[in-house]
Amino acid sequence: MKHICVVFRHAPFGATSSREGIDFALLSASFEQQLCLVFTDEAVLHLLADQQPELAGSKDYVSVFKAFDLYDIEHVLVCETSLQRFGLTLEDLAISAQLASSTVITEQLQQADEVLVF
Amino acid sequence: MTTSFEFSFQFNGKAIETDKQGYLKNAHDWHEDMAAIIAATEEIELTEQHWEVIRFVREFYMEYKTSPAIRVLVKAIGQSLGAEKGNSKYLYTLFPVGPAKQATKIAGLPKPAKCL
Amino acid sequence: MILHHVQTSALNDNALAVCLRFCAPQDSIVLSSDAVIALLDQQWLNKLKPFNIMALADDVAARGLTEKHLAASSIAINLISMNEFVAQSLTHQKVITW
Repeated sequence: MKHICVVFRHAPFGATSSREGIDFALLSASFEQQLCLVFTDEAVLHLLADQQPELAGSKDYVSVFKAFDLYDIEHVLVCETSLQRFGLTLEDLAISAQLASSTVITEQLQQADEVLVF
Repeated sequence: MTTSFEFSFQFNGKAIETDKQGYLKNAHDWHEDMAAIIAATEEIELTEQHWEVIRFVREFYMEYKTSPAIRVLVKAIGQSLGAEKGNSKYLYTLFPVGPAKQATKIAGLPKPAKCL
Repeated sequence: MILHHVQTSALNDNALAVCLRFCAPQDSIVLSSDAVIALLDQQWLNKLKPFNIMALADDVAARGLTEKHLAASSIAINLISMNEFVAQSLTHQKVITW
């Protein structure tokens, strides 16, 4: 079992990279890999409640976030700096995530066997 | 005007588009009466136990916008219907070829991304 | 010890910014393609300064950037070949492509 860290750094729906990253994460979880997801910069917006991706012409790939526990994805880190920058708090998010300082995220990257950025 | 699809079947005088494996292209085309027709192509005769799973995957899809793969299906069913149903032995008895594959197909949903 | 690889211009993309935020002191950064443009920008150079910085020599030369342009940078930049890049990726624990 590998410890895989998947970092998201793009805004929702503008590009397909985040969707690819989610597909990759869910697939890796199905293969019983240990996963840690990191949302930073504009990607923190993926976690907001009440999104309607179809209105932006995107497939809804954010509703599945609510099923992370069913996929045994327990570690979801949100960059504290990015969240603050947009005036958001954990209460604005659709799922339970862990507020992480840069130091904590740096440590995660160091510990992981593989890090993929989307 | 009749639309022609590469793969389809007739339902209530309408052509329903599917992929080449028989999964509906559009989950909204699905109707409860369609389930028995799709189930017949899988050689499954629907019982109330089947229906419980079919409704479950349908609700799963409506909430999470994705078809559950087997591992997730087992866990999710276990959480809401209890351990005696949330195990692969029970689900394989109902859907011998593969619970995730067959239940999602009968429920008019896309094929799960990964089926083991 | 991580080798961070950035390929996009810091003026168009947040890759370098995110990389720098999560870079550990002992890590290295390789700039390739449009990412080498950051070497002309004093603001980015200040942020790059604490780290071991490498840039692909071909990508620097391709853009007409010479030692004269980089001299102003006042930080040590190792210009490396593709082979050296491969060697670096083997001496680091892992590579993160931002």
